[in-house]
Amino acid sequence: MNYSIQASQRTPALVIYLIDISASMNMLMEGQRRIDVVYEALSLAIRQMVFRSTKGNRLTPRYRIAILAYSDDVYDLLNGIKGIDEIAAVGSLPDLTPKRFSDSAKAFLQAEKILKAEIPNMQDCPAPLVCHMTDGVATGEDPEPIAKRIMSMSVPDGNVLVENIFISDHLMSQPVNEPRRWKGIHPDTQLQDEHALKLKMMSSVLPESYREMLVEADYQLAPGALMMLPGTCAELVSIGFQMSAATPVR
Amino acid sequence: MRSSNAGSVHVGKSRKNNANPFLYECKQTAELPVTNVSDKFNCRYAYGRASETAHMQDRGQDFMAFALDGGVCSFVLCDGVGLSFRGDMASKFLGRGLLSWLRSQGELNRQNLERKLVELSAEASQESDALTFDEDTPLLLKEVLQQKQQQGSEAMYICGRIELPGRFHRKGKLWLAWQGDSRLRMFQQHMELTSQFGDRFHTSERWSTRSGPIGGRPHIFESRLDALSGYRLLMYSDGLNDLDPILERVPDEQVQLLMDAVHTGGLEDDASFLEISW
Repeated sequence: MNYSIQASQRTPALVIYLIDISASMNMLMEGQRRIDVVYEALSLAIRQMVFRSTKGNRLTPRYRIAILAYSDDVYDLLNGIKGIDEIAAVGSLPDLTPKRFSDSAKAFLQAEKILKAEIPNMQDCPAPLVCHMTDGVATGEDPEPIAKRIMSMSVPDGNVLVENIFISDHLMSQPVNEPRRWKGIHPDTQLQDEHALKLKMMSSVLPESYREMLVEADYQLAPGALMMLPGTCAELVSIGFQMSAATPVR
Repeated sequence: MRSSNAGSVHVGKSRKNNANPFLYECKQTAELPVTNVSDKFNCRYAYGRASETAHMQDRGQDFMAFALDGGVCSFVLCDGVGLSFRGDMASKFLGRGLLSWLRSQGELNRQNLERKLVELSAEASQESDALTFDEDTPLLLKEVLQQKQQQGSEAMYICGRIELPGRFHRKGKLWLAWQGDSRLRMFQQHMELTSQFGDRFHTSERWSTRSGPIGGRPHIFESRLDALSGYRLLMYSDGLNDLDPILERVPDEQVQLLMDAVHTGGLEDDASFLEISW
């Protein structure tokens, strides 16, 4: 239970992205629509997975990905779980088009369903990860109980990890001026937003093996940080998606 | 010159004698079971690729070679960094270059080694930059490979030379150099002397085709060998880290069990094993 199993062709990592595509994702962030910042950050994370899956000239399918966009409904953008090699062969991700509401509970339910089907066959694999990106209050049911159920699911490598990226200007009492020097959100970090507090409860502790990978990439998150990122700028959103791809590899 | 390659020897088979030089260089495209060669030195060696690599018929990222030139044994064990561009090429290029240098160089010292490592990086960069990709490589993969190519190839290494006492020197000499986290252990009469090497085996230290040594300077260990015999020098790549807690000499059959790694469905990482005793 220490998140040390390395992602390999034989033991691939499973990452499920839950992307909020509510209407507010049309709002601007550093001159870009939030949805476009997210699309770029997700594309960069996929590129990072390709980088980490390449040995010689060959791409080994060390990651398996599902992307669920959610609004009033859940949209399975890849039509199921796809290997990183299949995604690289297509070359780009499906478009993300903002719709209306933000029913994250439906997305977490769908993720739970996927995990229930996959976990029996993942006993030698790295612990799966659910990466949730949102920019606002969830409409619909409370997602927290479902997220907690997901966090209690496990494989020998560890419990399923849940990460939250919350795009908001009002999350932190102090702005994060230097993302690369930032120590992260910890269980005792004071958050101003009620929804942020809920997301904090739904966030796993960053495993040390993931933290080491991020330190290698020159991010200084401290031990015990939560897998929760305040998306106050594009770089923090990007760190959040890079975190999702930080499963140990050889 | 006698030479050995992956297809010509069997587990536990011994080769005795002879004053002719002996050279072993691993094939990165095939496994070598535990093999012994006995001369003035007793060398035991094995090479295996990660099961994933072997399954896809790819080249291993490790490279290992040694040469017996009478009373002198020169050796190198390199572990190509899988996430760098063509770690297999880096380890082979570095390994061949270092072995040739060890066999031809009179005095071994840090300055000469560092100069050689930089020289090798320039040559390797040229070779690496000339590599192209298949037309049908998907664009995203091609971009990532080009990014890696720009960053260069990397390998960790252990290399060294053992000189037995001879006409001009009454005591033997041991000279070792390394960067990285491959294992290097030394024993004399069953006592492990590895602590003499210090805590100087770091994953971040390696050789790069772009700039030679990175993450720090090469570590050097040199010593006169007080005793005439009873030494055992053991080195292996991290694919064999199950050997770490074991102090005794591991029988051939058990080394082979680790190389086969049936319990995990094959090796999870490339594995090179070289033991030199005298």
